[in-house]
Amino acid sequence: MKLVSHYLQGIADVGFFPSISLMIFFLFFAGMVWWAFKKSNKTYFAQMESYALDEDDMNSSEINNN
Amino acid sequence: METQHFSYDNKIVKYFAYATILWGVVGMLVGLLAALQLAFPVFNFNLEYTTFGRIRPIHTNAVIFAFVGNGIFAAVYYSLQRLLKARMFSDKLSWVHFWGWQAIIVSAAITFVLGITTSKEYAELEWPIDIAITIIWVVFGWNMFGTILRRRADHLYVSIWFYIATFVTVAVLHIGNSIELPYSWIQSYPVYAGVQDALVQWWYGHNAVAFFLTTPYLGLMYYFLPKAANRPVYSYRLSIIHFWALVFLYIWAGPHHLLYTALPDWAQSLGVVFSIMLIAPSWGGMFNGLLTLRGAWDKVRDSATLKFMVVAVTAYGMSTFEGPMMSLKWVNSLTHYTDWTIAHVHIGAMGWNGFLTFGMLYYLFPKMWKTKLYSEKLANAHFWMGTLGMIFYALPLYWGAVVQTLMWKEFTPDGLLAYPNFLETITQILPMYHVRVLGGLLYFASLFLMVYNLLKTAASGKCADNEEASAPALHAPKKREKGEGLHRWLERKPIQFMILSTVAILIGGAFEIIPTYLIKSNVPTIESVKPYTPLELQGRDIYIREGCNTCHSQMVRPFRSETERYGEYSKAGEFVYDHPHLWGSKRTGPDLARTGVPGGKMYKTNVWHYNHMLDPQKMNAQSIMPKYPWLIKDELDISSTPAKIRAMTTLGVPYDEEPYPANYDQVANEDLKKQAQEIAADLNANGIDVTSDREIIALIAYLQRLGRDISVKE
Repeated sequence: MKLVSHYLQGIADVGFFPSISLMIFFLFFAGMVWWAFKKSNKTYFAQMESYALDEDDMNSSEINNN
Repeated sequence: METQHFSYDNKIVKYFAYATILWGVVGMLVGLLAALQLAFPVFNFNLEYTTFGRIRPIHTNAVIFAFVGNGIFAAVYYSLQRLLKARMFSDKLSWVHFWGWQAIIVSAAITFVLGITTSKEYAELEWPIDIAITIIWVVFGWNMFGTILRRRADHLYVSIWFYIATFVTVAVLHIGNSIELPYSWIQSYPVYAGVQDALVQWWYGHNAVAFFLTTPYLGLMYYFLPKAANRPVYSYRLSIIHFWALVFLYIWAGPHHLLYTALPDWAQSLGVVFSIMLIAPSWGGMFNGLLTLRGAWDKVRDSATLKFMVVAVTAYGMSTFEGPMMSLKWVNSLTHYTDWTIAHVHIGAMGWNGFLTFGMLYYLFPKMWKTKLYSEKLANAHFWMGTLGMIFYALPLYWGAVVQTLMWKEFTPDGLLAYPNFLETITQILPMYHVRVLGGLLYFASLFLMVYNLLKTAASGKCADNEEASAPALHAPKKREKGEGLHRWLERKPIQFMILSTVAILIGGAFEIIPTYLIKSNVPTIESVKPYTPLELQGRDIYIREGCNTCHSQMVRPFRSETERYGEYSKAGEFVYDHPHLWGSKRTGPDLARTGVPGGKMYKTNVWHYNHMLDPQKMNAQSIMPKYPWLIKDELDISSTPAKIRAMTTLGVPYDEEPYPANYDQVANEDLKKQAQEIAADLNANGIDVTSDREIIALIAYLQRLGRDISVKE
């Protein structure tokens, strides 16, 4: 793809596009990590982890594992 | 709180599950045929409908959109209802979705067999079917969002985020890549040409893998793996990071590395750190899946369902590691155009998508038919046979790829190509193609163990079309409650969630797509590059119809090993009239970009082309190219010429400028006939009895044009 990047470089200030998207992504990612590791979310996370398992599953005799 | 009674629609899930199985069998059978054709060309059957060029898109589309597609819908319709404690929004929409999707699959198969294709990989379908896909996709989204809005559960579980992202992104990708100008009721040319067409196509191609084959299946994993193991998800925290990082990153990081050379240093460094860091979301997802089984690994020993899922998640981890590695420049220079790519995608398709689908089906059938799996032993046999099949499929291809790429690049001490004849490099790896057939056969045959097992399971139980359920009504305050975090609030706000995830993918998409649009004016026009003649244009469309681009690239990379073999490396300015581009992604045969350069390394005479298309094995006994006798038999349809010229003119090809006369579309066929007669006369002079109105003449005209423009010395 050298062929293409050569022409892409010819676009005026093309460096702006990757730089800005990298920055936006970086900030977003950092924010997301910060939020995910906030202490106050702990109980909520625990609850969501078993969200897919409704009561029916919790008590069932594991039909599928025989 | 009031308890509401309702029912889950199991019937639609059942239908989608059956469709997955049916299309899985069909798609893989066609894949087996394709593998056989590469090993033994006799399996092309000398028929236009069954040559590899047409069979290959049937296989890829059937596996991706029919097998995996129906698998996605089965998973979504089952899990969405249960996660939201609500029946699907509208039964009518569900059935329009189901039958519409199956009709699209059937029409895809018919058009591909007939050679009606856009040539764009994984987007080969023509414009009327593209429109049908858009409509049915909207029906699916409408039904999904309707269900979400009518839900009884407070929060949207992580699986549903993945489903939402899938819906939104696939819509954007499909529409973005399918902008085309029809020239007949069934066929069209893409509005983009050359470099731009390639960039848009691979923006689509890369992200179709991400948002059709990956995100919905991650949603599936987050629901069915905990269910099958009866364990909570390892870490919800990880799944949040997994989701947002993946959605944001995938669309952003596609061919983005193209731009890196124009980046400031600090950004390059940050980019490198990030690229490495960002194997994390994919692997985060893998670990999240595998660690869900912590303390339950003993269950894996006993359950085939879990075995399938574990291998699927592991294959996902392997593929998502291998992919970034393959995008490293020096690795790519070795693996591109070889069978490495084919092996890579099959680890993804057979391992990740295939095995996860099988795992889901082994879970769903006993659950929905309220019975036990007919035979755990058979399921285990399926697992081992499938795994072996996958290994026997992929390993020979990896091995063959390494052998072939090294042969392509080897020079003698005198500085000449060690293997100047491309065919030598194919003959060398042919045994690998044979073993690959065996692997494919094992994988395919193992499917029938599943089919039998699931049918027996279904026969031993009864599936309630409507499964009774009850749940308290939704308690959903509009505003954020005190102490409620932002994301938690977001999770019960589907519309806002959809908007935000759309913004996430659009930011990435925009920053990747804007330079793509800007590039058009930056590709310098090469003075000597002229539009195709009407005959060449018709020949090019035959090249597309027969799927020549599935095996022959038209892109000489600037490596000495390639310029020595093929000739001058390709330049962006050469492709400005190529609607669509035909760069190709795999070299099962040699590159053809310079095949029309007189006196060039790849040059062949008209007579050679004629005889070669008629019977390649007569020219080279070892050749694995199919025979194309119908090109010699069939008359070229020139009634389409005016419409094609008009469409091309609309797209910016200067048939309306000097030296072309006004209303060129009306007189183009005169030029066509004249050029055809010249080629026919040359063939006649060399003892070949052929008239100038045959398809082969147009194809030869096109092949003789390739690379000729820039070889003209001024």
